[in-house]
Amino acid sequence: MKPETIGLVLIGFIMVLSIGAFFYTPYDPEHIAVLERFRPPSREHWLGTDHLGRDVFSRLAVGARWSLLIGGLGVLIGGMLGTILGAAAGYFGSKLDELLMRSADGLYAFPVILVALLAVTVLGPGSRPVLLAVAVGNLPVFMRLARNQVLKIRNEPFVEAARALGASERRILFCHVLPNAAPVLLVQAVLSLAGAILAEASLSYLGVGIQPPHPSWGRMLREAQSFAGLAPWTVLAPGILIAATVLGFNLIGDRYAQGR
Amino acid sequence: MKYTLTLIVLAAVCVLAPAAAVSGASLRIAVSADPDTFDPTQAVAASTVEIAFNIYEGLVKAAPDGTLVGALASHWEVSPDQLTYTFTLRDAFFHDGRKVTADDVASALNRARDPNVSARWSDFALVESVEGSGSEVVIHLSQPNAAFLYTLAEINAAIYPRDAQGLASRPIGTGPYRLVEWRPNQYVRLERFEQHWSGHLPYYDEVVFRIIPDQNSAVLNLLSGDVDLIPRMEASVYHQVAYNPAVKVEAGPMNLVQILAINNQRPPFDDIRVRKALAMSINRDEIIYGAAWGFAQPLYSGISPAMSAFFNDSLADVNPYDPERARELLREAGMSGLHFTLTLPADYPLHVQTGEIAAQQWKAIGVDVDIELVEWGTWLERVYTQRDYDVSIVGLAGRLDPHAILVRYTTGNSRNFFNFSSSEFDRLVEEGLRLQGPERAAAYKRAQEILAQDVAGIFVMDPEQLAAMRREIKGWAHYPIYVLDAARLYE
Amino acid sequence: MGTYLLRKSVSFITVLFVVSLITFVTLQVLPGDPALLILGTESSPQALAALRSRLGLDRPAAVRFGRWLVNFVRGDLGESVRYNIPVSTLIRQALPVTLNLALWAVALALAGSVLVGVLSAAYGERWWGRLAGVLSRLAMAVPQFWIGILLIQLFAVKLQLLPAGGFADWRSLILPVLTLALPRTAVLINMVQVGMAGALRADYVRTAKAKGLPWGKVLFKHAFINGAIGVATAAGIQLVQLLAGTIVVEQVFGLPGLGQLLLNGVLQRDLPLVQAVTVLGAVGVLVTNLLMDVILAFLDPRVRFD
Repeated sequence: MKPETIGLVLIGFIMVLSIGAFFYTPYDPEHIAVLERFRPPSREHWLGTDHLGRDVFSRLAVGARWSLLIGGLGVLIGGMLGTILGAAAGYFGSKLDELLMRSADGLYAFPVILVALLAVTVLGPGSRPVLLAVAVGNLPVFMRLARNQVLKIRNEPFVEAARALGASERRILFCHVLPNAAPVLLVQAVLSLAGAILAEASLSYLGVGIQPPHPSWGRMLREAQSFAGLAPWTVLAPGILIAATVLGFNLIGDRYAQGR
Repeated sequence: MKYTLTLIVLAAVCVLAPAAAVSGASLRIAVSADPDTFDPTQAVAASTVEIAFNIYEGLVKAAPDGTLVGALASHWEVSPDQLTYTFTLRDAFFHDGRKVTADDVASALNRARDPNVSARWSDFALVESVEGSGSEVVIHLSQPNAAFLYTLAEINAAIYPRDAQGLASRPIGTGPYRLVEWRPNQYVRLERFEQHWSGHLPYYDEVVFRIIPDQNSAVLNLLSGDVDLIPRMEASVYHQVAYNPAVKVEAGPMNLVQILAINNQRPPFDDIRVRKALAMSINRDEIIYGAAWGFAQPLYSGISPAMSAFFNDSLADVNPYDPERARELLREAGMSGLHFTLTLPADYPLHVQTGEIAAQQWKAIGVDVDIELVEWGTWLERVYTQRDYDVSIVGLAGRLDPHAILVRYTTGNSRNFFNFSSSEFDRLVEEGLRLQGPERAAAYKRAQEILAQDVAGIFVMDPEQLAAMRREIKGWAHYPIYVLDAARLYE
Repeated sequence: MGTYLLRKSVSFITVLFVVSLITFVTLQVLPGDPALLILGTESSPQALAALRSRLGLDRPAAVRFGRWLVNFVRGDLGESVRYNIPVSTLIRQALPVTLNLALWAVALALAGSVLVGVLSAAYGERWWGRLAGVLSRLAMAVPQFWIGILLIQLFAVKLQLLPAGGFADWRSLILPVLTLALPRTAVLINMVQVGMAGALRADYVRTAKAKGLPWGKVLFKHAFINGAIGVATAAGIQLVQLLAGTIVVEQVFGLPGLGQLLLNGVLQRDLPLVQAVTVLGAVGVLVTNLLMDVILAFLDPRVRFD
């Protein structure tokens, strides 16, 4: 079975799960029933219950929505902004290029987690600092990529031809260069999404990401850690799901990235 | 004959040896937070007090049953008008070898009541003067204050040398242990003080407080033998040690009051019917089971049963669990669609889980609750200082004297972040300072009744303190304050 | 090479300045009062004011930043608002833990990836080459802290072989180093494989083989160097991620390193501490990048004349 097919299957499954969760979950993910705590997986609770008696499956399904939303939005914002800046750098060159690339280098010095921690101190814990951190983290990546793509493409023959025919620089940029750069950027977006999901999970694990009572995969692992021996399913299920999602995106992205 | 004599001597040694101090024995204790500072004028964090209890002493000291025993004072007298306290000092030495003089005592206490120096100066507000000469220290108060002696047992009244500098990281006290090394985030190491005034040396030569914030880690260290004692194990990890034959757990009341704090001055919470409705829809059993794993006692007012002399045990029916009545009350107050924010301190899983359960209980009577987690610094700033909150949850630490606990609810008190106000309550608390014995207890019991009737807040539980330790360790005793007495432990 | 290094050094310093500025500005805007946090909820307004003045919190921000910068250059990192001891002392105590953790993880990641990468590229068609590929894919996808939790359960709880947390001796580092190194190794293996595969397919390699040069020499001189270039190019980013990963791993295993120091500092609004550790972290990242750039320049002549 081809790797990208596996990837598509995994992502497809996660998508169905998270979208389906809008309409139906076996239980209310936030419903506490302390007498039902630590039930192992069964027909009533497909993945068992956690330390407060909440249904793990329902929480995972709703948590998927949050992870994908935050990851997706962060990559979108960071990606678009980065692309614009990078394309400008590549297209207009010289001083602007220098300035933007130096800034990108500077941003590289800030690992996503560090940005998130600083954002947390300003905004308080929650989904916003995570979003900010993911966006900022992707900025230099897309800047560099867009810039390099633009540099490569602007000297292609068909672009020269367009210029010879009298097309304005602006028209060339938007109608010829960027559309050709798009595939590569999209692939990067997919790969970045994988990283964003991991980042969100890590931040929620540290306690500074998505806050209760909203379910979040990372936070579920944080709460489950104390009970790993007592209720292993509370630790295994979220971890496997995170891995599956990230793997899925990586497989898809890698297949098409090879063309790079 | 010689053989028999040797045997007798050997037998005697074997019998007597365990009671004698053993050199080289080290006690490793797991605590979850670093101390903040060992300067008695600044120290307020519970984690500091827990450790500093072994390093510093005051004129008097707390005993496990909450009474006071003499520490640097061998005995004391109170004048009939309760305004003059005369302490007779005993012979004692500081950790740096110097003798304790009345000057040192006067200096330390005068600094403790200086608003420019001390963080807890207001506790000593009624003190007019402190004078020391010879082996006596005389303290004059401006008013009678039944709680005053207890204040002298707290860390902020600890005695240190008159000219001591840098106490924050190099404390010099008179306690059974002295600080040898402090590595922030790692450990605090204490060594036995050989010249302690009691003449009695603790069993353990060395006590190391290892800073292990993660409970699972602490428990694993206990099970593997890298740690000997976890004085405050979280109930959620109890199951990891419950059936282990090498470990025992001593449970006892913590004298902590967990309160669902309601902002009394913010509408609609200024309407007592709303507060009562919230109180009557709380099912304490579910919370005690769900958040504290059964290790807690329910509370109905501001004083814990741990303070048995003053505890009012007849308040369970003031706001009984009655969701239907609660709904009715909300309707009467016109608040059937009540919607508010529950602000929780993220650093305390017990309070967070209590909040999650309580929110659901309120949802059951139609109240919509948004949970907001904030970290401790923000909680202090927003909820405690600026009182910008609807409802919150926190644990109020135990003190030795009921006055210190109840004064929090008096009108205008700096600690009254509940914004509660009752003139009758204020009067009772003030009176209580001047009364003694059963009269004092009666005043405080009535005060507790007012707190419950007027719903100053919803008092939930006093969680038990679970001390997990190696089976061989003996001598453990629970204190009604946040301290750890290492000197009484032995094997 | 000389101008190359000079240029790199200049940007190094500029970026450092920007980083400390951003950090400082960020921390000024937040709610929360360090004085209240230190003295606690029972303190008097006077004591709070006195402490604020002692810490210099009442002077304008620009002045404070300026002073901090000057002191930093001189090596004085200020005094921690929470612990009342010099920040440099705290860092000095925490640094060995993090350095050990990071360096051993880096060593493991590099060694492991080169070994596995070379072997699987050379014998890639065999089944275990592909298996390594699949496993490394998986290792990249799994959250680091989850690996840590599982390792603790297996080795510390069930088998009781290794300590679960805290920093007692070298054994305490085994699980954390493994946890930290695993995902990075996986990515680097990939890099090595790609680099080497590309090299092995290249014309000049086939020519060398056709000329009858010994396979081992070919492998090393051409393929391996290319693989190493591949690693060096990617390693910069991976190592940065590894350094960032120490924050989470230290949390999982309760290691008293710089990551924990930073986390606590952020939660306590300990401005001097957070400022110093953040800038130090950036220094670490930039130094790593610089190192990788130098190695890359050394391996790949094309870079030097860029």
